[in-house]
Amino acid sequence: MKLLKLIVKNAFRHRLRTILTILGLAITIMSFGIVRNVLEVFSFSEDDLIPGHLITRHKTSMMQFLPYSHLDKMRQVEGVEAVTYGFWMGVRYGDDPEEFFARMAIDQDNFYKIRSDWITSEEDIEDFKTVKNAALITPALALKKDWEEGDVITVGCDYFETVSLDVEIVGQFEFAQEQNRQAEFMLVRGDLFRRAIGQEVSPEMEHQVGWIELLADPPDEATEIATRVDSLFMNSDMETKTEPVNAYANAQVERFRTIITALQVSSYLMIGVILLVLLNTMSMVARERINENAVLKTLGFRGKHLVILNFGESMFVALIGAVLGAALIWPGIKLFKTLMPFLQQVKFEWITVVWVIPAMIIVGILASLVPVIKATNTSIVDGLRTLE
Amino acid sequence: MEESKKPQSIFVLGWIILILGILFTLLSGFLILGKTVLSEEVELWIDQYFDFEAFTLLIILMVFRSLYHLVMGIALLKGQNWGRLWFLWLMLIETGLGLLDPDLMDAGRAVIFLLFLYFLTRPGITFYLGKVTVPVKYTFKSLFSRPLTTVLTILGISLVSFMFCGVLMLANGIAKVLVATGEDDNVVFMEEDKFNEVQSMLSPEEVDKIENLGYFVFDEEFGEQLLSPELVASITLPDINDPTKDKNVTMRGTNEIAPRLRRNFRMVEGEMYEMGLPNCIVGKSLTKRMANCNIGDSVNVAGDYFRVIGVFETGGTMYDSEIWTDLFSLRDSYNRQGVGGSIVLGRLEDGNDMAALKKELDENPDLEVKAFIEKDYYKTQSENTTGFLKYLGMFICVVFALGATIGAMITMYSAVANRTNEIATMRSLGFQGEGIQAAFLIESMMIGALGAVIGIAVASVLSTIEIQMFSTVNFFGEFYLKMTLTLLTVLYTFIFAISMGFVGGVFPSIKATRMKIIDAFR
Repeated sequence: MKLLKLIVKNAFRHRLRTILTILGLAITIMSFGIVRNVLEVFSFSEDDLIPGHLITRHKTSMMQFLPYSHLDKMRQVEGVEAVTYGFWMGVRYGDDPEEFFARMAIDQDNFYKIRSDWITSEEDIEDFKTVKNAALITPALALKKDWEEGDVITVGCDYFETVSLDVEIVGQFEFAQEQNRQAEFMLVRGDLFRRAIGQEVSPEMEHQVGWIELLADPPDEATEIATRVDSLFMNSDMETKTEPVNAYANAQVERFRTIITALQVSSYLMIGVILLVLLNTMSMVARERINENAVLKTLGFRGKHLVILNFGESMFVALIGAVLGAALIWPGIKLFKTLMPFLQQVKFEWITVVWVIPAMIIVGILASLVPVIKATNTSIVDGLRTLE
Repeated sequence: MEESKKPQSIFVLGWIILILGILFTLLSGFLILGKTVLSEEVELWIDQYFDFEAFTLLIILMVFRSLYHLVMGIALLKGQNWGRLWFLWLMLIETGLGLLDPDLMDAGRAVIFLLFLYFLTRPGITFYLGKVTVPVKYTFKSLFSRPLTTVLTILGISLVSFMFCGVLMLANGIAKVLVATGEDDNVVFMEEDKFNEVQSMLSPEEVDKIENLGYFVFDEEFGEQLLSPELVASITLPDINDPTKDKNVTMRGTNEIAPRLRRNFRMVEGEMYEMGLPNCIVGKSLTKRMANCNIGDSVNVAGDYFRVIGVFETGGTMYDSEIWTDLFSLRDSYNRQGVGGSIVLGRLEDGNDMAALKKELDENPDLEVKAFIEKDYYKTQSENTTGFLKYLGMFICVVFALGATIGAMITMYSAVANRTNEIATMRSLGFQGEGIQAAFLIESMMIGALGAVIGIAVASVLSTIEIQMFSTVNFFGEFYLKMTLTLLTVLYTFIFAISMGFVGGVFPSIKATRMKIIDAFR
């Protein structure tokens, strides 16, 4: 307890320096937090995956569609529990670039058999199946646009601009994944979309789908089942590539690899700067206290007390900096979002705060090494002899 | 005489700068408020005059400018020596930037440049530093009197400089590839309302109409105009190192004229593709990176196989990461019958300028295409990508730099505190407070400069690595680039690092000047 008091008193002996150190740490921790939060945008958690969830796309290009007839053939494959399909429709809504929300067209009859991560009520699924131009929306989208059940909305498709659908909102659905809760999303009936592209783009489009999703049973054999599915269409002009959803998502993230690496490197550099700032202050402490440590030793303080004193001071400053910095992350992200119109997906994630704590503990330990070594290695006589 | 003149001109300068600072503050305040809380009409008005993409940068620059003008103005009015030093330093920066990068030469910079020239040519420049003796030798010697502290601070600044330099190098690398792509006298025609090649689709009739415009060079050898309709598709190929990983590659179907439209085009190996045959040639960058991309291999496009019969290069442009084949074969494999091409590329004939062509396209309601100079098209695309990186990178750098600046401040404060005796000695030897202040400021700027040297040295190693970048040009496309260190990047990094040192040193150096000799000796 006495040592604790000494630690706090010691820490604020040079008030200006300590305040500057804490401020320096806090600001760097804030930028560290912002970078980690930006990185969160590019990451996804394996825990959120549905076991055995496979996705099939055209082998040559992600932009090529697949024939609808593939679905029936896939249903025959041993180990395929359920099959469904989907299309990406885009995000644009109206002429205002800021009025966007994401939407997909999905298989109205089968999607719920696989997508257990889209939470919706039995009743809404039933409505979605029966109402000819049904659409489901997330609560976040309902709130943003003030749309209610029964409203009829006209939506288009980003890449087939002549397509325009009048959809009726029949209910809501929610993402099971925590990080997608606030997503503004709409699901449209797949047959409605297919008919529209068949009419507007070309007749054969009606019999095509954007991608196919499968549920493998048992989930452990997903890779073998995927190979079995692909072998069905080998050497046809519609060869497929089936892979677990996480592999697919990884491939998407892979495109941004350079940026992700750069962000990761910069976040480590920040920890480096934090360490340097604290190390700097602690090395000053080490220099100033040589005399004093010798006096403490003559008074009967043992080496371990001096270690605790110096280590405690380093930790104390590091942790105040950590708390202040962590508190600044949230407003920092607000500022970041007002300045970066194209990175609006960045959200405050608690996990980044959790990241800060171990990082700061390591920094605190490392920074205390200089004064600790100096304090324990200097003999009383040498310490008393040193003039500052 | 000199003595009485000195405050006067500084006060005039101080007022000018202060008023400029207030004007900048008002303008940036108005812009920020207008974008957030004021009425929609104001917002519309702002959007009309400042385009949104550049708006963020504009605000940052504006706020930055108003801050430094305000601080400098107040410092000059209060007769602070560091204010003058800062003024000199910033004028040097602005002049240097204006001279090195003509694109950045705006009206404000021009005025500052002229002011700088004016003060430089006047004997009165002495009123900044000349009348004050700066103990320069002392500065250099004391820099490493406390080696650990100084080295730690230098390292801190070097980390930030490294990152700053790296961001700029990455942006340079992207710009180099994308700007090298495209020529001044080539025109790209694309479907109206589409932003990239993959999304655009032109009908055969539209392609014919473009051919009939008659703006293009006639080539004697082919007996045709230099014009090529091109179909652009995105395909995936397995990575050479990890065949389970698919990478996106742009495939371009075109005609015999296409290579002539790229003046840097050269076959490295093998033969050209022939029209009507499922053969293809592969860009040099791909041969090392993708499986199935060497002569004799076959590339699978929607079930059809295209045999690789040649390797080409185009001098480090985007095309080096593409596969080229015959338009008709690709169209058939890709089920794009009834499409004339994604784009049309043509070489403009002399005398027929772009303006006339654009006017004709505007007036022709049958032809719903837009046209760009090829070079401008890629330049715009590069601005999109580099803009994204620069915004993100600079934001992080600036916040990050605050931390390192505070580190420098701690070092300088302790330097001043540890050297009270020395300061007092110098004062009694006849050095003025202002000279000592300058000595400390120069010391902290040196720390910044040394940090920049290390940061740039480490960052320059990055330029040997070839990295992959996603492309906004072709949506799913990827291309390869090397981070590029330019003279301007080096200069920027130095400015950034030295400014960090300067800001970190200002308050400690003021403390050094304010010290009374008697107190200091005690």
